[in-house]
Amino acid sequence: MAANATTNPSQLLPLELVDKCIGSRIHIVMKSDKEIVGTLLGFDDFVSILSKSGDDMVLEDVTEFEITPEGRRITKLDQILLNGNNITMLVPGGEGPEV
Amino acid sequence: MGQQTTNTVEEPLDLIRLSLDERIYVKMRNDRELRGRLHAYDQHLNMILGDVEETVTTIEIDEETYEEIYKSTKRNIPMLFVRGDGVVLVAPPLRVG
Repeated sequence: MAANATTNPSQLLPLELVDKCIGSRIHIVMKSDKEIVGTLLGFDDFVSILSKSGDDMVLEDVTEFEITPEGRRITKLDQILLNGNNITMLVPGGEGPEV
Repeated sequence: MGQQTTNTVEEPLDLIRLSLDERIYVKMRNDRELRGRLHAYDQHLNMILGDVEETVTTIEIDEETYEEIYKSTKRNIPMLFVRGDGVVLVAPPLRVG
């Protein structure tokens, strides 16, 4: 993915940090009051026009947290494909909200 | 694919470049605010922030008096990735008092 011509070339790109996280635990904060913790298997990045709506992620051994109802937990195992449209933040190595 | 560095401010993203390695304030959609050190960004405003304090603000309505109660929840996160489409504004940290 091309960086801006004015970007410092020695700068770490944000998506490179996500790439380094593959194989580790990751904590994903959604736009709604929901958070997901899992092991990151991979992510995609539709280049150019579609890249903003891209960034789907594949996770396994997933736990889903809903914040509002006092941190209720929904545990899903196996693998999920998470649509990137609703992601707000990613925390590499995070374990989720403290409950 | 030549990349050049320049010290002049030519476009809005250059103002963010000036904040690299500095602490910044990020206002996001859904009533979230972040204060942290900017480590990286890209043209989508995806960012990597370090040493972050996240503030989530909610408004509760008292069922009897109907008054609005503002509550904010804070948490500290050592390192995180911010998805650019949630970012509303980026600024140097607000100085209070």
